[in-house]
Amino acid sequence: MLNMIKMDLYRMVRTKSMYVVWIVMAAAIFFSTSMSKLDIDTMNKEAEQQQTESIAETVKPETINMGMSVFLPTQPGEKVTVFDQVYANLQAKFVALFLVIFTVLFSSADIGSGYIKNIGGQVRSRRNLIFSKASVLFVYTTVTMLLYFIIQIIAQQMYFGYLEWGNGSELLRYFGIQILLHYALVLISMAIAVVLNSNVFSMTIVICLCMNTMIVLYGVINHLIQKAGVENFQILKYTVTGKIALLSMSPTNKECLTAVVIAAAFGIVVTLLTAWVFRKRDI
Amino acid sequence: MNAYTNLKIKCELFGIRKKGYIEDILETVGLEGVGKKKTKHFSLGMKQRLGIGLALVGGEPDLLVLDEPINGLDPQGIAEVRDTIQRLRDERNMTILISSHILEELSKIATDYGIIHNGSLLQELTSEELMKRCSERIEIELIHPEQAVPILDRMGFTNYQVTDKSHIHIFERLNESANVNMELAKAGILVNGISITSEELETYFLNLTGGNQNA
Repeated sequence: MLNMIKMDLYRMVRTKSMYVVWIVMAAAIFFSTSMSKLDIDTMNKEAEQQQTESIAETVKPETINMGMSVFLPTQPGEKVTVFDQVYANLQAKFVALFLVIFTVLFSSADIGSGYIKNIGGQVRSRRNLIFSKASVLFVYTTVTMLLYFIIQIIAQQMYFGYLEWGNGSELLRYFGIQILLHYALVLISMAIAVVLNSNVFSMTIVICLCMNTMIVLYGVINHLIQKAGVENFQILKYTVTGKIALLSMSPTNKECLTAVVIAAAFGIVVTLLTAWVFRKRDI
Repeated sequence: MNAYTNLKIKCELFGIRKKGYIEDILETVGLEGVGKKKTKHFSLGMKQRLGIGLALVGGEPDLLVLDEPINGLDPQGIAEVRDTIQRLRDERNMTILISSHILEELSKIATDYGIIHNGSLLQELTSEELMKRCSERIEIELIHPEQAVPILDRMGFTNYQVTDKSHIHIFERLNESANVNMELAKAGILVNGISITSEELETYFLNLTGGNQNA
């Protein structure tokens, strides 16, 4: 098993697309931060002129709209913290988009190229190939999230000219839980790529997941469950993408636990399902 | 990725870290000079040889099974794969099981043949036996071939075969077919036909598998 993980790690490191995705992500983060600077400047000007209360309150969004919205929770007149920027980008699934794109490419590369035929018949259990991929994708998720964090700090300093961190312990807690949630999303993407065995469909689905297109389906499910008598049921609160978007900047212990359980449950179930499908499939 | 990286990935799977291991395999399959060339730019023959190289990773296999290794290859590619297979046989003393329909190519490298049709092994024979069955011969068609045997023995023929109830094949002294005919006639043995003939491998295969309507 350890050898399989080393094999997949080596393959991942030698994959050009990983570096391309990182470069594009870096450019996107710089762009996003520059846009945030413009927004904040505009908001501050308006607030000065009108001396009205800001409409941009500290956000704890209860509803998610289709599409990708990166909005800062900063009040006018306040300094934008690194925590604000991290929160804005992560809850919008801006970073998740880059994670899932590479995940689909990496998960399907050895299957699509036929290389899997060279190794599939020579391992004791084919399931281990999936577990090995899942392990390596955890490394990828963690490294990418840390890379994002570093790029965000640099972009923050570049565009805002200062570095305010925000509440350090809450930032770490929030970031740690988001890593787990993003990893669960990566495992879901891996499952989609392996099970569907089609790059086009897989890529489309995972991008749609990041763009909140599932809320249409969630709305139908909510309606049906509410009709069955369960009031105020919101399935979004129990999904990985929903948790990524809805996790507050200062999550309570209960919120943290719920997020971790949901991430673990989804991650384990989809990985086991993928392993089972892969074991049964004629490669 | 290039050929080296492809082999390296499989070496990682098997935990092989011996220095020069990958270079040895590349040399064995004739890809030592490809450098950093990506496999997507390889010719089909090069890809096939890399595939053979990948099969060698993980130990010293005693048996290599190749499924249609020369299908779709141009003559140069076929020659390269053939050289690789011969090198593996000679240098590594490997038994190589090849499935192929390209009989003329097989005849250049195979030592033993198994002819399979509809999942059944119809015939198993050595290369020499197969060549003998397909080589030029005097074919005599007669009603009782066993009656001709003493005549042929008296004429000094040793390399002949009564193949079935009505045919004798003589594999030597092919220019003496007229003499054979005369001696048989003198002995009162009726000959329905006598000719110099040979059989192509393909025809032999098709006749054996019952596909001679396509021959």
